[in-house]
Amino acid sequence: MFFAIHQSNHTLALRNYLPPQFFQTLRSSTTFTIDQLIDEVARWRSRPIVTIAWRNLPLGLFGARVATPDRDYIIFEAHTPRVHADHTKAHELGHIIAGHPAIVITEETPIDEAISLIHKRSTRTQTYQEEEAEALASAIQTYLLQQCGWNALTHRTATAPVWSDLAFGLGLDK
Amino acid sequence: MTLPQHFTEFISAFLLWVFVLWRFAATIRNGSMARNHSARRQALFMWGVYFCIALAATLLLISKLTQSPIWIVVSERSIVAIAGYLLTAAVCYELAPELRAYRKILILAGALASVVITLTLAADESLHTGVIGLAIFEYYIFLVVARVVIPAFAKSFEQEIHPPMRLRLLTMILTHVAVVLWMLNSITDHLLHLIGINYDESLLYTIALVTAVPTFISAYLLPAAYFVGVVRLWEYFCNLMAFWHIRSLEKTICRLLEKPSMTLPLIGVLRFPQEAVYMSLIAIFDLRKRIALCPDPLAQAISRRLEDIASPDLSYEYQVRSLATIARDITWLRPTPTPATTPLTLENE
Repeated sequence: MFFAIHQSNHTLALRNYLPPQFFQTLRSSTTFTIDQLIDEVARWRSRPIVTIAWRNLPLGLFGARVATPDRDYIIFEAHTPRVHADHTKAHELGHIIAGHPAIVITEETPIDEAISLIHKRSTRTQTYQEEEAEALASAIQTYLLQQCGWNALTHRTATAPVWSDLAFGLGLDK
Repeated sequence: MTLPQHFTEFISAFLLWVFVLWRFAATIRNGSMARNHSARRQALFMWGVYFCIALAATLLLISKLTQSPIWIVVSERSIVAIAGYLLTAAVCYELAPELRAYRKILILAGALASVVITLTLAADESLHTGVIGLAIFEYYIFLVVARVVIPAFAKSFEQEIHPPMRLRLLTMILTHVAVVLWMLNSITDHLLHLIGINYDESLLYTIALVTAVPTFISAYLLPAAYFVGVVRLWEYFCNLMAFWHIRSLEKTICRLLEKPSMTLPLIGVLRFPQEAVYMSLIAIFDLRKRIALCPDPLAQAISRRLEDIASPDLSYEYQVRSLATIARDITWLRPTPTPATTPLTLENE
């Protein structure tokens, strides 16, 4: 995690992944939470993202991402604090924004089987991709914090953000 | 160079009038008058209270300059104080409407007390029998504060959710508790004086004064930004303490798992302790499943405790408090090391 106290280049890294038009569409919104950002990314990509809370993911796994030909799935551990679940969702969203390849399944594949596939794949460490997704997760949370305040992060009750400021903070004001 | 006579009284009265005028301008400027009837009444009544305080200071100054008899000074002060407390009670009725039932009784009793005080004090310039009037005045103020003012502010305190306003209400309550203490002490003093017993009451007066003056100044004279600042400072130190504990828990977990703990720059932590707490909390929950596999008894104990608070239904604040508690308990969770014993052999038997 690289929050405001780290201020690394990663916090401005979203500009490399999302076009300014993406944030222009967000300006009409009155709140900004992780879930809403997921919806906006889905709308921007014209590809639905479905979030699934799953109890007792395999050991060491708190979140996972799979894809079918026409949609993405973010699966996250249900039995974990909300802030941790949101962080996990932001991390998986980071994978999607960065365009990392996902395990492709069919709509008929049972979720537990998909999870088992992910678990097998996660044992083969992909450090760079994980670091990139983590940096993007931190970038999302940092600006969520800076624009919408603590309640957006800790209680999912965002106050009305100034989207132009958000875009500016993300380096998307051009 | 010597200061003019009654310089202190003059400066006090002057400052109080400046404050009253400033307060009136602030009441007009902040839009309280236009908000609704209740806000308008509260603003006007509160301004009336400040006006009474400034008026009392002015009357005191005039009395000293004209060298008026002491009974006039005391009765004037008492009547203005009664008027001030009636206005305070009016503000309290806005805060706790159920207390309005006593309103007429309170006003009548206030008027009656004013007359009795003036008569008893006027009847005896040396204040020997005048103490009855003083005791009546003090008992009246005690009743108003204990039965109306404190309950109303306490009710507002319970209903208020914003920490700066809660702190301000608590400070107001403390001011009035000090007034109650002062009045009770004074009543006892006067009644005992009537039957010829003197006791040293200075300690209780000092406690009441030391409580009342700073709490009154901060609660009634300082702007809201002061309380916002105090609350922020308090939260800053609370976050720093929470981080201190949670960080120690995270380091313990990382030591048990033989992995490096998260690096955080000290300057960053001191600037944004709230963020540091958030990051440490996520780092700990990221390791929750791994710590469950660690065979160390301490790791198992920590894992069980983490499992208990991992529910998404629990609030963030509760989880932070619980992590800090687990960190504090680590000392107790740590298994007592077995004392090294020398094996019993035939040689050392």
